[in-house]
Amino acid sequence: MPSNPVDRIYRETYRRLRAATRKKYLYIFLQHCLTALVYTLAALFAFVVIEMVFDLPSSIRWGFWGGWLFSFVLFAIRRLIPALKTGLFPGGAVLLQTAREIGRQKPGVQDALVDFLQIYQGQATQTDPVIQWASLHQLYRRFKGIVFTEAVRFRAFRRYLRRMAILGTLVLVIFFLFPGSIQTAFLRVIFPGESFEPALPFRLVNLSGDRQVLKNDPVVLEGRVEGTLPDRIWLVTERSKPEGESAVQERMELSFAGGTAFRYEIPHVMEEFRYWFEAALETAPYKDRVARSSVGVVQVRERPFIRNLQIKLIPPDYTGLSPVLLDANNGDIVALLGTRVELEIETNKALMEAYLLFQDSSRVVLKRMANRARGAFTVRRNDQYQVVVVDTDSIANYQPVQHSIFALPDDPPSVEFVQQARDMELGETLGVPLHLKLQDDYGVQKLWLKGRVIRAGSTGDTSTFALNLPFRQIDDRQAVSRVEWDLTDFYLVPEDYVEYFAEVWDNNTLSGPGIGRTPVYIIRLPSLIDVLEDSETALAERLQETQDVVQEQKELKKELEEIAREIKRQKELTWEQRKALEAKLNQHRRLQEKLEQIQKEVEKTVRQLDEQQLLSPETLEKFFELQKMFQELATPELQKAMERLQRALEKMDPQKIKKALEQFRFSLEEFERRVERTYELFKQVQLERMMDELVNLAEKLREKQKDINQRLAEKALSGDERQQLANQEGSLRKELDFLEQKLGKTREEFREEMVSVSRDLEKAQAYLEERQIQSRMDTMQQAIRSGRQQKARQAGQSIQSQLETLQSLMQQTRERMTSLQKEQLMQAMRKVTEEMLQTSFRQERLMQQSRQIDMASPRITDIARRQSQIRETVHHITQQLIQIGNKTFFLSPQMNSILQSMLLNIGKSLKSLENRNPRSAAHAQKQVMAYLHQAILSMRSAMHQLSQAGSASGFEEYLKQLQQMAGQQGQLNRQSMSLFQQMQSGRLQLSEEALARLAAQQEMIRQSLEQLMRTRGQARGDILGRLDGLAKEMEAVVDELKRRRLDRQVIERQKRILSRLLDAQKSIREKEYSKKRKAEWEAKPIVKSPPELRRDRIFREDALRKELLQSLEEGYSWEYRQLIRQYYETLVRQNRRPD
Amino acid sequence: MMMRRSAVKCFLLIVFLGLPSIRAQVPVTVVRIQYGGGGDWYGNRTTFVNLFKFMRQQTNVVTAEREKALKITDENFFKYPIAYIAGHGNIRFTDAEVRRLRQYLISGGFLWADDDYGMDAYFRREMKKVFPESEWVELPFSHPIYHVYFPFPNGLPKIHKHAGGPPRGYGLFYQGRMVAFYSFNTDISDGCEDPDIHGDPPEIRLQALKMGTNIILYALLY
Repeated sequence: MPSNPVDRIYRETYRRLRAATRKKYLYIFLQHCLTALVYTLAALFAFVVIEMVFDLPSSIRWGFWGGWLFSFVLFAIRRLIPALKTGLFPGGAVLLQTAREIGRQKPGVQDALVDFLQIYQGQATQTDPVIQWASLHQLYRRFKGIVFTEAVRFRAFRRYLRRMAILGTLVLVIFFLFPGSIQTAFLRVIFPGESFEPALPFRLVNLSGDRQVLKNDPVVLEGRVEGTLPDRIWLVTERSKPEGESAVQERMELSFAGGTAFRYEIPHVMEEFRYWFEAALETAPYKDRVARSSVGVVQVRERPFIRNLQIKLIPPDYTGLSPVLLDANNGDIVALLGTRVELEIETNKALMEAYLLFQDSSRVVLKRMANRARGAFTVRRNDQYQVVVVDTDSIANYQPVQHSIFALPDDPPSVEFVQQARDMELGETLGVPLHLKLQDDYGVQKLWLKGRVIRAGSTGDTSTFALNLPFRQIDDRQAVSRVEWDLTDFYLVPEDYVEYFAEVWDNNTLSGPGIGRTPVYIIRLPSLIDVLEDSETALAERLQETQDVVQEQKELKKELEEIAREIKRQKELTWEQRKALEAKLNQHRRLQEKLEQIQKEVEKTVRQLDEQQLLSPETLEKFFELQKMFQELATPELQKAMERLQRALEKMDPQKIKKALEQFRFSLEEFERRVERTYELFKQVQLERMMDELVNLAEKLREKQKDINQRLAEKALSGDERQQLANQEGSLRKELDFLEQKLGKTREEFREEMVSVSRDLEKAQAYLEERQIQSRMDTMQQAIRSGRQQKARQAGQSIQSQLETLQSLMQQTRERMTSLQKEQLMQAMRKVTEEMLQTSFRQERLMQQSRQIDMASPRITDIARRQSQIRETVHHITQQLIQIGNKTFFLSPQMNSILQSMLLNIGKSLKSLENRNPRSAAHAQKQVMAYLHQAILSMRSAMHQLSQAGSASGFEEYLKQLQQMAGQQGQLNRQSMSLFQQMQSGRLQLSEEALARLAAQQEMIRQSLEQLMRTRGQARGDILGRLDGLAKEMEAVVDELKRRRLDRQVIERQKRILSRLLDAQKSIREKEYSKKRKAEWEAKPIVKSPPELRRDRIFREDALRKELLQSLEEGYSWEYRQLIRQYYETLVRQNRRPD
Repeated sequence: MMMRRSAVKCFLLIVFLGLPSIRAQVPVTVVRIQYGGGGDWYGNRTTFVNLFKFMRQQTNVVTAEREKALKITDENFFKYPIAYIAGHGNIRFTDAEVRRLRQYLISGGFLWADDDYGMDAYFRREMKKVFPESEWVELPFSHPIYHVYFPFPNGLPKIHKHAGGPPRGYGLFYQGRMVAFYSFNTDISDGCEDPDIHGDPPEIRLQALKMGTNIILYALLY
């Protein structure tokens, strides 16, 4: 450590100066280095350019590098090394120079530093140390605070930078102009020793670089060619594999999209891969050389997806159905409208958002919990939805599955009429029994009977109605309703009609009740003319059909006889004959069916006529008898004969067939006779019906006219009332026209049968024409319309009186017809009876003679001759009886079998006489006599019945008695009720006398009833059977009253008695119809769509069946195929059994 | 999706029916199956003459004058896209016919069976041989066959009474496609015949012709 201060400051100054010198030379060294670099680069660039242009040989390239090395070494020796050396070891002169530069740089220093150094170095000279110190110190103070190194600056650095920039720009320009070539040239220069092929004249640029895509998303990889367009270009992808396995490369050739660009889209990227483009030219010298672009990497990110989907369906409350859990991951919903759908999902990633997206873009947001979400919605319509999930990176699931929602509608309920469902005409009861069946998936709520009343026959207006009907639930889905619909309140008049239908509401509380309706039916109150015309046509058709049956039956019989003749000639029956017999049997069955059909139709028509009270009791009764005859046409013998023949034909036994055929033919003869008789009687009843209709129509016209007259007389009518009344008079006029027309027609019908009746009818027709009632009716109608009520009333009175006359004429004609018929019949019956009696006497004598003679008697021949005469007489009687039978019902059908048996025994008698066996003949003759007596008795009975039936009192009287009894019972009931009510209110104390009087009256009615039952019992057993029970009821009431008891029970019992008396009257009219009416109605089918098609039904693939089909196609033998088929069918049956 | 399909169908219908210039020029016809077993395959002789005429007037579809009658085994059978079978009685298909009819139907053919009253049991029996794996399914009233051209909101129209009760339309499906349609208890074919043959009222006849048109169009379009 120097102790001399001069030395100390000198050393310090020296050290600082040396540092500045070193810095200065470091900068100089650096400057030289940069110079070397700039020149090297410039030379290199220039050489690369030359190389690029001239493609220099290797020696020149080596020469370049040799030259460069020489220059560099020279430069280093000359510049770099001296600078480095001086910088590291600066000499005194160098320091002095630095000191001068510092002095120049720092104005405060100037020469101070140089002076300091020189003074110090001159210390050895004769300078006074103090002066020296003082001068040095003074100098020192001038640069003491100066940092010498700051004075050294690298000023040339910017210049070099500029040069570098110019050089760089030049390089870049050349590079961009010739990117491929310049690179290749550069490489050739860098590696002068290597032999380079010519550079490709293009370069591939990877424009897409590194990419990130979502799994399953598409990625587009693009590139560009710089330079000449290559002939072929490829995209190479490389997928890395797990360790140990080599990467998989795929090479796809591309084409240019246009210009120099090319691209390739990978539609679904599933995993990460590297890629690059390669290109090649097909021409020399570039052939087999490939240019490659830079490598890019496509990274893949996973999307969220639904791992598990679970749906629960909760049906609407009103259905009462339990919730249903769908199979996992089944998102398709088939559910009833209003069903709540609860949905839960689980995903592979944590979620940021989850929602259901419906077809109309509406959304239901699901509540999230990490990688789960849940939500709910209600099924409102057929729809589709997707479950969209978005993960925390805002990535949504890829193409969410489209699930369908199939909304099952709550099927509307159905309602059908079990009976009475058809267009119909209203009967006199004005009631329609309704029986409805209701059905719905989930129960019904309300039932209505709706419709409208169209008053075409009266006011012409229309009104609607809706009646709430009660119903009874059978189970959850079915209900029934049975109601007696009373149409009285509608006040219908003929030609008015009611359109009605039933409407049912189900209990759907979500979308309002589903509604089901029946078709619309019509109930019509028919006009008189309608009923008459319909019945006229219907009965005429039935008559014609009956005649056809008669004709066909005759032909059938003829054909059977022919077959029978053929069969007799042969031993064996041919197949054709057998078939022919079977055909005839079937033909006969068809005829029987036809007759049954006719009978039903007649029954229906007669019922309609009876409802309108257009038949007299006598005619009605004849119709009943006709019905009975129709029903008894096929006798049990005939049925048995048919069965026997059928059995014989099946067994093919010729003998049995012949025998059965004989019996069948015999029974058929009887059938034919019966059918003929039925037809003849039908014809006659038709005539009587026509006459009845005329009488009743005339009566109805008179009554209607009377009603109109009464209304005219009651008060001054309003405009509407006048209009209505005028319409009624107009209808009356139409009915009178109809009567006139019918009169003419009936007259024509009678002209052939009863001339006198026809004449009477002609008179009635003449009366009608003469009095011009129709024109009077027109006048009256006009008068009513124009408000001339007085004039109308006068005209009405006159019309009424003429209608009364007309009715009376009709009545007389009918009576004449009846008496004429009766007279003719009685005459014929008497004659036949007499003949039978005479025959009986003759037969008796013959029998006695037969008993008295022996086998050898010559009188046998005479007896046989006389027996033969009796047979002829019996034949004659039979013919007469057939004719009588064709005109009356009273001749029992048994008469035919009596006559048949009679003839059979006469035949036996004749045969016995032929065999000379008088004893046996006598026995047969006795039988003939017995049958003759039976026939006479039967005939007498018929005559008696005929005479009874002819009396006017017959049927009507019976009805009158019943009516009278009902009236008496009604009066008695009122008295009983009045007494009972007074007793109840405490106003009256029951007296024995009053009760005895009531009892006596009830007893009187009971006795009347018993009297009626005694007198009419035989004929009307069916109806009076019901009255028999009634008499017991009456007896019970009498007993109670005698015991001084008048309570609620007695009152009820009396009510019941009255009700049954009224019923009895009604039942006489309806007679046998009641049971059959029910069977006639047929429920009309309700139009309801079958259920919608289900996928499982139309895509049904039964594994067993598939197996079967396969096995059948495998070429097994026929026997094997049958076995397989049977096996399969057994399996199918077993499978179905649980259902 | 459903709407899109409906739209496509509507478009096809418009194209098929409304644009004569681009519709197929090959006349549409039907092959009548000439079957064995004794039933009257040859009945309803005027049905297709009238039906095709009606279709030409109402729809502009080019139709042949009448149908063609062939056995199923005939080599030309497959040339006709629609087959027709009807009758009153027994029907019997041979094994070869069963195989060929099945092939015809699963290859795109369509069969219209019309019960003339009396063939039901026999027809069902024979079709069971053809498609043992399938059952006849009664079609709902919403099925396109009832709406393809003329609307039948209540299903098949009732033409003849036959056994009484409502008419029924059944479909036989193979892999979801209806390969056969069976009109039962109504007799569409009779309804299409000349008016004086069955004496049907004009409105009933019109219903039959309309339904017949629907069946043919359905077979062609679906």
